[in-house]
Amino acid sequence: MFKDKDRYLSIVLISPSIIAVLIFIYGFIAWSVRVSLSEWKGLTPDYTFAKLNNYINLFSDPRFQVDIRNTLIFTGVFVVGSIVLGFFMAVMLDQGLKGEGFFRSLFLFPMAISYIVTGVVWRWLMNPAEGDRISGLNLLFSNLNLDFLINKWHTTETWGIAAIALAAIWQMSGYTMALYLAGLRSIPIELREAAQIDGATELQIYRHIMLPLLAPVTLSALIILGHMSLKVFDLIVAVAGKQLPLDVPAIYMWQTTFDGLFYGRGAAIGILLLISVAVLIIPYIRYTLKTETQA
Amino acid sequence: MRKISIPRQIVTQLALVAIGFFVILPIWGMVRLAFDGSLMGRPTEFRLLPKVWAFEPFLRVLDRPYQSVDFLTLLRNSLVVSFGAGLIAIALGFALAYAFARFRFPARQTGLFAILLTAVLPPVAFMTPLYILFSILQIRTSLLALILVYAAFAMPFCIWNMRAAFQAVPKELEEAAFLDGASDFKTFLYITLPLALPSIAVAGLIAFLMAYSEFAMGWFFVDKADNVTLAMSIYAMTQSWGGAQPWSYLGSLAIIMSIPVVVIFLIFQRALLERMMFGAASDS
Repeated sequence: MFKDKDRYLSIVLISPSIIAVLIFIYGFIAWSVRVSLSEWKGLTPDYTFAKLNNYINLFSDPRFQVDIRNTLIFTGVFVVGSIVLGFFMAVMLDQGLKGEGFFRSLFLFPMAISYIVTGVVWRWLMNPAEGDRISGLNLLFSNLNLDFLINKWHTTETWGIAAIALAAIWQMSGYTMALYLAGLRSIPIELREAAQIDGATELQIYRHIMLPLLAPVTLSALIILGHMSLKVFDLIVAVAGKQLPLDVPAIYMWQTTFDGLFYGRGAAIGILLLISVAVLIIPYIRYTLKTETQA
Repeated sequence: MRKISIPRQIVTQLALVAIGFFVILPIWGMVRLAFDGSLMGRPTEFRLLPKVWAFEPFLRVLDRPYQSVDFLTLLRNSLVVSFGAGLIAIALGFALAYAFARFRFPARQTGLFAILLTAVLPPVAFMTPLYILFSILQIRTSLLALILVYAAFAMPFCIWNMRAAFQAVPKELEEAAFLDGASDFKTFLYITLPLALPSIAVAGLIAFLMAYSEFAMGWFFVDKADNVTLAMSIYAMTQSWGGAQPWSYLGSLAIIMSIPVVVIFLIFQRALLERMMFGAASDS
């Protein structure tokens, strides 16, 4: 439809910015890879080739092993928690009750709160102090005589990171709910009615009809939430500061690069993080683009 | 509308209220902290209402929120950075979005894939090169550095959403204008752009919100107190909190900072949400 001359002109006009974006971002990745293969530490650049030493050292580094463990725990707790809670919120809101709009807005509200504010709130709620200095939720539990619920939150050994995941669930379950709600609304009402006529209980309808039909939504939620948790570090430092037991790769990278000036090692962590996110997300993007072009 | 039995309705309502409590408790806790004038250091009681209602914490943080920097400077920094980042992301992404939506060119699909991928890659992986580059350019600890960083991270997202907006404009409309003798540029200016504008604005809004809320990456670069944003200053406060100062200051600054974000979110909830779902739950 467009005249060929205009079309070429447009392409000429646009290609510089395409190239700039691609070079900027992918050029940076390439540079990071190069730095991660070097011995660079300290302020002066040092591109001496170090083979894969930075990577090999990382995997035998106890701190990095803690990082991997923490990332796995966080991802597991956060993703499962958000999906389960979000799903139940959506199902309950889908019943056609009074006040549905109010609850939907309420559940979405934490999404509007910045991570740093979430951090401040949960830092207070999950205060691990004991005895006279007891505070936050522990104090509430103590006042309600629910002493068995009192715990050390993010200072718990090994599992402390799960407490941060709780704050993340609080923030993102509304988003998951919105995903499921949109999914539920797109399921034809006839399906439900047919099942009801066949004598299926509400529970059976959700278990055997809705859940399988919502599988694509669950997959999307898994991937979106999963890649968020691989990248998370701002929420962690906002709640608990930079503490070794709550370390994740991004915080390690931050400290080793900007406080320790180990550029080579920092870049290696960045690249490993990049690869893990890419492995998760590339098939998903390909799929999204493919279905979109077919539509 | 489906009919559901009364007992089930009650059970569901109760469950909704219970979850509602889980959602509201932290927010309420913050409000309570912020307005409690009796706090010395950390709160030692768990109460639903402040012991002494007071605006004093608000006045205090408005007067001197962070080190020697005054509140207006922080607010100005936040606004400059977020508007700057949003505008740059939209302006630079605009042409790309239109090209990907309307033109056929070699390696189009690959290019789109490459750009979309950058929207989800972990930002920290780019910190080292950016840090070095900004140091060389001697802008590392300036507001400009923050604007560029946030714009770069918001841009792929903006491109993706603006492309969707351009695609949603019916091709027939453009063709009709074209047949009526309008040039490509005029067609774009009078037909395509006005129709896509709301979605473009929402994309810009999201970029604004991303930049406004970000604090951790900011501290990678900026180490000058004068160039700190509101979000960054709250983070700095939490880090230097020995319990000596009342937590109400922290609470009130956090609330002040949240006001614009919450207002924007409440007004544009539906549109923002739709954009943030990446089409994951479209009715297709």
